[in-house]
Amino acid sequence: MNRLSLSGLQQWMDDRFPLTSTWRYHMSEYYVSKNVNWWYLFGSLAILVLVIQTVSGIWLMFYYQPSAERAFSSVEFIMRDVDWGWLMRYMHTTGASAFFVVIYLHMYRSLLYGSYQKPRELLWITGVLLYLVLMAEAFMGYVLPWGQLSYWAGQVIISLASVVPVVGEELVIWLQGGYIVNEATLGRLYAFHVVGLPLVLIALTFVHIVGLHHVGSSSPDGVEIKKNKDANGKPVDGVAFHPYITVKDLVGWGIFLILFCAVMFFAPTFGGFFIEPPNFQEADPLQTPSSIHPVWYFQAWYAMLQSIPNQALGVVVMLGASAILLFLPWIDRGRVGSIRLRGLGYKIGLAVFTITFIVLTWLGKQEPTGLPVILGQIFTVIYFGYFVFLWAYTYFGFEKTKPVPERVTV
Amino acid sequence: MSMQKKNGIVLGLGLALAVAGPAQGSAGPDVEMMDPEVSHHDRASIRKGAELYAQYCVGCHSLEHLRYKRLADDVGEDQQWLEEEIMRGDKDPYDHITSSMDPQDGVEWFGLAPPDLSLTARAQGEDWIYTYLNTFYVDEDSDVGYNNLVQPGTSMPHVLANLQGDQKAVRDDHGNVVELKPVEGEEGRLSQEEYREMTAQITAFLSYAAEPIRADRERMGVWVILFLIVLTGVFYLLYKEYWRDIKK
Repeated sequence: MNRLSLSGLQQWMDDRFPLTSTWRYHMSEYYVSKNVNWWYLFGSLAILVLVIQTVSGIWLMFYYQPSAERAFSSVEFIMRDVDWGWLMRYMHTTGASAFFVVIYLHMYRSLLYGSYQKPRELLWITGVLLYLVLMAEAFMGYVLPWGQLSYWAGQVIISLASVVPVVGEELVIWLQGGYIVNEATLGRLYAFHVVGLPLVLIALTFVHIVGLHHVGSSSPDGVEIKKNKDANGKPVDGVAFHPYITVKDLVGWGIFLILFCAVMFFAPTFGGFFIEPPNFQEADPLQTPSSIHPVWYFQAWYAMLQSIPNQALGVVVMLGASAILLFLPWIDRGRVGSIRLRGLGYKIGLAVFTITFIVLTWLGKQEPTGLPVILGQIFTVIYFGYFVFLWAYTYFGFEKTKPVPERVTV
Repeated sequence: MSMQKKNGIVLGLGLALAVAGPAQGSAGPDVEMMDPEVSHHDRASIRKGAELYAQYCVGCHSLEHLRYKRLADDVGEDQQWLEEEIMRGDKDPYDHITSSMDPQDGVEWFGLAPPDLSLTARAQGEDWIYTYLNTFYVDEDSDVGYNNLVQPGTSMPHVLANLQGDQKAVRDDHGNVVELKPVEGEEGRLSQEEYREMTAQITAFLSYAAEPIRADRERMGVWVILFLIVLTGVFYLLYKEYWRDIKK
């Protein structure tokens, strides 16, 4: 072999670093069920959005000034005076909402095809942890432009810590570095938003992907393709991730980018859902805006908080609602994963759960008096009720399932 | 811990639980917003609006995020236009559009400093600005002699009264304003149509000032989307080609 050829270089690398074997393990010889459908796209889309957020975020950091005096005007400076600054800014705000759209659909795929079941429990748990970190990341980023809603939403969320017994109020002061949200608060939120949490996000994403490639992707039929291999050890119902899935995902990325750019270029505020009108007013600690509510992706949780009269209980319920997701692999005792094989009860239950989450999201923006509060309480109960139902339905063997097929359908 | 500190801490939480509702600003109840019907691609209206703003508004209201030069470039005008129509005095084209009024004077004269209007169109909406400019009415109880439908108790006098003429409020039995009518003998220099066109132009300008890139980004967006559609088409053909053997 010529030592100066490409294959010579590859050999040189492989003697020192597991380059070829890593590529094979994760890409060219990582097999995925060949009938995965479009629901399986959102994982790779989440990676794309993570890259978009990282790149646009770094660009914003060139010019953004994390001080109470200059934060708001530095954002306007980016929007007006920095070449392509407006593009980076809209990319980042659109990317934030896109991240949640993609992650919610990615998680929903797991519910549809039982992707959290054995042996993928840890995969699900790292995924839920990623979601929780992403929420913290999004909240902190939301405060940075220092608009009225940034400021007051920050105040509201940090104040939630006051329900901690005994030390709650001291804790709030400690967290925000003062009696109200102030420049010290902004500085720490900035540090966590641009360094602390992204490190956690990227590390967890790495763990998530390594975990996935160890157990393999689920399939829409509930078939474990690893159980049926040919003489070479290749799953007969599998296709190599590269080039088959990568080339398929490219189509999805293209469609996603069309939608993404449509929002970014034509409706970056998305009718006030992605960037809210009051946030074009600079933060004023002396003037409370007429309404404070979080961005759309937090509203389901917020609806729970505002429909429960007791603050401490509301916070516990809200945190419990996301924490319960961690236990889903053990709540669902079902023997099959895919919705194609599951009983009618599961399908109806999931439909009710889906509607519940959407209604809660809508309720999070309503005025917390009268009917919305009552509806909020009802749907909070239904939300938790779903998990109780799911456990009882599967634990006591009420579910009538179809047998897992031998081969995947194409 | 003092009561004051406690109040400070629970303030935000209490507000969160107590207040929510539509995100839009501080309009009075049930005021129907008027649509200025001016496109953000209408550069002539934006330019005329800028001239009107320089004539009637900038005395009190700055546009601290917009530079003179940017405005001239975006409406297709030159240095001479800037000097004659907009800057009117010893100003640098690269400066932000500032008001000559001392904010402290504003506090003394009107009770508060006239706000900067750079982002009003985004915070309150174009409709709000246009409706605000059209719904001043005579109110003897007000310090400035006028009140306004979308911002009841406004501290701003009706500086365009000599153009629009005075309006008076027609009230129902509960004292709510149901409509505004011109006051006879107090007609302005402009007809109603002319005044509406003028205020629509000012609105168009303020809408531009709130986001100067808007028209450009939409023009650009068309090409980006077209490119992405073609690119996605190529990806799709590539996908079909690769998967031909697998999907049999």
